[in-house]
Amino acid sequence: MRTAPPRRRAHATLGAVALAALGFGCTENIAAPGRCPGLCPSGRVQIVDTTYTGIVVGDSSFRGYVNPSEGAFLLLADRDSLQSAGVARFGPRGSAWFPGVNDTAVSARKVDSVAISVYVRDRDTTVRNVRILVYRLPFDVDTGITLPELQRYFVDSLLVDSVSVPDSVSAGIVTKTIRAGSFDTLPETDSGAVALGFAVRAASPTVLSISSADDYLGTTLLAWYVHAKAPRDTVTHKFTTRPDFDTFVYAPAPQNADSALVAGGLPSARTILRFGSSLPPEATDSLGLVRATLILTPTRPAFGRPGEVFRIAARGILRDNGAKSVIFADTSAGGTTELTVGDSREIHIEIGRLLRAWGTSGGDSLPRALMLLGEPDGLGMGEVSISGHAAGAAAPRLRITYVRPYAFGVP
Amino acid sequence: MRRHVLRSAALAAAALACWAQVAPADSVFGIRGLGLLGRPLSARAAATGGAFGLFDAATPMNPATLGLWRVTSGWAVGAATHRRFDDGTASASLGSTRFPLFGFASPVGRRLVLAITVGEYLDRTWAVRDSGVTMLRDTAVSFVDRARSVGGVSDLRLGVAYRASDRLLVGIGLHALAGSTSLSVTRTFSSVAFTTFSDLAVTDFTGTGLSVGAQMRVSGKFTVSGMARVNSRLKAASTAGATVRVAMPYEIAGAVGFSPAAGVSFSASAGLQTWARAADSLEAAGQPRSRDVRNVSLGGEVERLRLGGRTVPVRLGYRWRQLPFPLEGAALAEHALGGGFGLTLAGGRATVDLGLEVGDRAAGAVHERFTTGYVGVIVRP
Repeated sequence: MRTAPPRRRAHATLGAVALAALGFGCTENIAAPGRCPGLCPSGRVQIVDTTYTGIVVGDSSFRGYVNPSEGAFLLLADRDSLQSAGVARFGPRGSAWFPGVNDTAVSARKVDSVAISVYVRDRDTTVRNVRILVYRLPFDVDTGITLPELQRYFVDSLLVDSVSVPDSVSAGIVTKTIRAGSFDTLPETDSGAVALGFAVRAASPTVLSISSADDYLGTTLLAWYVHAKAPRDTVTHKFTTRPDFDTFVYAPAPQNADSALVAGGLPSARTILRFGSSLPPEATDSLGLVRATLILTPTRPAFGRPGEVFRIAARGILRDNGAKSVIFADTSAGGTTELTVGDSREIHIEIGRLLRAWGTSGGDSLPRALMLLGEPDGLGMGEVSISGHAAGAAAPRLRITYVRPYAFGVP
Repeated sequence: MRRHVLRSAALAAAALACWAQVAPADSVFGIRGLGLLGRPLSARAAATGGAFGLFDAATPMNPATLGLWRVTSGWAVGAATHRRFDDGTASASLGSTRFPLFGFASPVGRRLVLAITVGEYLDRTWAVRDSGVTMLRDTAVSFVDRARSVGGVSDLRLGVAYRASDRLLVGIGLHALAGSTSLSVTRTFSSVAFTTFSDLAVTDFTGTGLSVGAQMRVSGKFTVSGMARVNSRLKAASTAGATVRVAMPYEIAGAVGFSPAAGVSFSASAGLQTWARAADSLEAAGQPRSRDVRNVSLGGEVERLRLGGRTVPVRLGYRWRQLPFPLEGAALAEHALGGGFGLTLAGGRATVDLGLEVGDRAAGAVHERFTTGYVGVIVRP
């Protein structure tokens, strides 16, 4: 029988012993249950919770970052507290097409029918018999139109059709083939260029929003079914057009940002709150600060679509240029809060992350200011109006919870 | 010759590279005072309860024993500990692995031996976890506190031994105490609205010491060994801002070895450390006063067992020691029973010593039972 040389056996033994030792010691658990004060560190975690007033020394508000014509929806409403109507302007459809790959172009002779498709974003599902009324508008309609001006066109003689929203549809596409003759008055040269107004009616006053041309979900479409001119008048084709402009107008009008501090809504508003340079050090202590809440007092109940739940964000400002301030791109340096239209309670927004950012060496150069805005900006009608720094007890406050500097014992 | 030098250099480099890793097996009692006193014993000495520590060349207690090295040697010890903590109301099973000792020695001429060792001196590695409920913003919020200290103080010794005669060895050691501890505290709240609090402080320790020792064979059966050591104040500088200097103890220890027959030896040792010198500094830092502590060890080694043609030494020992830093007024002490054996390999070029120690340290109702396995390797290239 062959045996390994002594040195090789020694190496093998040493290796086995080393492996055994490592295996024995693989577990690492040194955390024992605390038996204070005897078996605990001499220091204690001491928590303080306090509210600071007068920390906001300046504020300003601006409106118009996202306009209804840039929003993702058109709001239609016929409630007493909120009335709204939409406008969409469709460009010309095509007038010729190629029936086949190797075919010659043919021209459209006449329109057989037109179908309109509307994407319903959301509706009040408790309201029955919802209809979207579609009216003809002058083609030169633009963003300058007001709700009273628009409503003057909502007369039977200009009614194109009524698109029913089935009670079973809470969101999605509804399509209606428009009755014959609705667009007969269009001049041939316009080739289907048309402006339409939208209003909502239902069994009871309601609010409805439909997708605008800027919505990724879909938008209002017009499908034009046409026949070709003779001698190829048996050939048919469908042209589809989408709005090249749309907007909506509503009442009551949004609050003037020159006289109130507002955030959210459409046209979207933003408010800048500027903090004094004498922020207490514990408020920006990146180690000790465990919670910081900005407390805002609303001056009126949150405005917007009835029942709408929306978010208001507080974001840090990188450069304070007033209305055109540069803010952090996301909410990582700030916080958000969720509100429901009609809320009139205090607004609490967690801003601990922003304060900690201010407390870092890189945060020294940041302006001690934050911006309140809708989250996402311009995606809803929800809007708050808050008291400013001169509102006394209703002025913005800062409630912070922090840990006093830990007393590490030496040795 | 060239290979010999290269191996020696590699051993020395490995020992120095491990400098930062030197740490003893942990204890929850390391949270008290300056920490848990280290026991930089070789696996052989540990298996005899430390009774052979003052006679053991690989144990950095008595610098005179360095004179026992006849050839260039390097050694290291690994220790894995399983602990069971129990304070009467709560208990926990804990475990850790550390490397408490490294060394390298080389004869210079016929009578002189130079050595460098790195061993544990104070263990400050521990962690505790506590929980509770606090009222925050009119809401009861539960929390978990964690405190963790990692590190300790290591003892770097440059030792010289002189073989005055076949019966007498003398030695001197220059010691540098160095190390650091990183203490972190964390409070985690049950509510996500409250961010976790965490803070960290690092304390650096520096100090020096001087030790002298002698070992003498007084007859064919009896050998005595003794050492004394003085230390400077230990400077502790924390990143939290404070710097304190703590008086360190004087240390004396002695042992008697008895060999009634060839291959059979017994030893008894005792020691004293004047840790009361640190009491004023600790009290000024808001900690309980320390006390002088003593230790006693008894052990034996029998080299009669033969396995595979080799002689396998079998060891057994018992030790008791006091610890200087009290817990809530109760004195802390520990005792342990040890045992083990050794294997000589590669024609005497390598030795592997295995040891096991089972013991208990207690202060009042608080107990920590521990089982420590030692693996020591000595290589003589």
